[in-house]
Amino acid sequence: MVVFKTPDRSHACGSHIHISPGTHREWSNDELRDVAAGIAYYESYLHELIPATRRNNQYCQRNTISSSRLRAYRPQSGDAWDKLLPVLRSATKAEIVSLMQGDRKVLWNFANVVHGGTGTIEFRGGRHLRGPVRTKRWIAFAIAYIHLLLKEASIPR
Amino acid sequence: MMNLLLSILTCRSNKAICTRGQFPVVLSSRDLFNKVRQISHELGLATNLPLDPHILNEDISTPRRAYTRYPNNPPRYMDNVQMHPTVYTSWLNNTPSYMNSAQMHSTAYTRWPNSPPSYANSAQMHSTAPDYRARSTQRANAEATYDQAPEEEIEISWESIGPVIYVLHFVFASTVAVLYGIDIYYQTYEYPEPAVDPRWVFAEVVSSLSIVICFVYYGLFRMGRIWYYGYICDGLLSYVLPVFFSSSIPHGCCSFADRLSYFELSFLWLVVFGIFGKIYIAGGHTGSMNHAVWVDLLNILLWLGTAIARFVWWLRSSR
Repeated sequence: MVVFKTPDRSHACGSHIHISPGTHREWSNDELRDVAAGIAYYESYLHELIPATRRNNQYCQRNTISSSRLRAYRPQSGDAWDKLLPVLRSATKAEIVSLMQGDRKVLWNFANVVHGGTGTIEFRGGRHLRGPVRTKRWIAFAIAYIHLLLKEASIPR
Repeated sequence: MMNLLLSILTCRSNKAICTRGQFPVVLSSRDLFNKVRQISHELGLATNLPLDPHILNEDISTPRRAYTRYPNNPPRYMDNVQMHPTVYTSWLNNTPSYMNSAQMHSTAYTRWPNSPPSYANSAQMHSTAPDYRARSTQRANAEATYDQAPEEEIEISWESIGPVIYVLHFVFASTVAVLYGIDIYYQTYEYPEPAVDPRWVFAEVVSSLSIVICFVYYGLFRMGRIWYYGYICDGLLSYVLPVFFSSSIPHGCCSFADRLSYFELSFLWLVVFGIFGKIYIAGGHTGSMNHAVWVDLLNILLWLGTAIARFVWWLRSSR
């Protein structure tokens, strides 16, 4: 990895990591549902892992805060979580997107998978990056997190 | 099994287990990070993820030394619990969850819990001295060392500079070949019949030989590595062939054959320089052929220098 110019340090900066399922492939509905459910389920833990400057940041709001519908389904809010899974199970891509976020400035941005976007899930919670070492760390983290959700967390069909 | 028990404990009814989906139970953000790291290990990305999630977030605006107000105080980005975690070790010398026993008790890093690691001496390890440098100096230091991968030492050996030397040999040998070739071309127009001076032909032969040899040896240099490391032939041949042909047995050791020919070539260039130095320099000529003599000298120095350097490397290597 080559860095042509080292940018100046700024805590106002963050990084966005786009994750696609592979070349010439799109996220399937099932995969999106698993990822969406996992993101909502583990959100509070992930929120502790990301840098302090990215927590409650207006450019990467938590999905449950950005989306009022998802907020109602948080695992902390008792039986509501049980009602989320049937909703997700029958959801189309567009419905998942509208469920997961109010606008695109959220921690996990799904908006690119619809309307002819790049077809990627975007992680916007990374720190500001100025060199290859930390960049690779955050890419590895985002990819492994998605793999964790796809592999370990699954909602019953 | 543990997973199931925990899910039973955390869920309120059996119905809840069925409808909640199969999410691995995560007890803390640290636990989630460990799971992510486990997956990254399976994906082959583990080298990019640090063991400690705080390294992902460490504050880089000030150098590391400045974070602690007192030796064991937590840095600004940690609270007391994070600094002195009880989750990882239940007892002194127990392995934390992210290490196995061998890693924990490895003698490579520490011989005993508070012993200095191999890359620090005792004073560095137990230093309690605060950083009295000016803030600007600390910042500059942090800026300079920001996001640097560990430096790799480049050892100057035939392995590292060999290809460059071959290019120099080729450039200067072909310069001589062209200069003398042009002169031979003019000699063929001599009246009454073409008379090509054998001394010019000798210079052409030496320069061509140099070009051929540096091409052949560059090829062998490349192949020698392959032979030596056994990628092509995995038997006795991979040990025998490099001794005679390869110029790149590791650690600067070189084969008998090409140690000899580097000295031979420098001797031939010495003869060329002698012949043409006598004609052009002693004769007080000017022009391109006069310059060619100095290129001959350069060739002597290059081949002789290479021969001596390789001989020294060969002596210093383990052979």
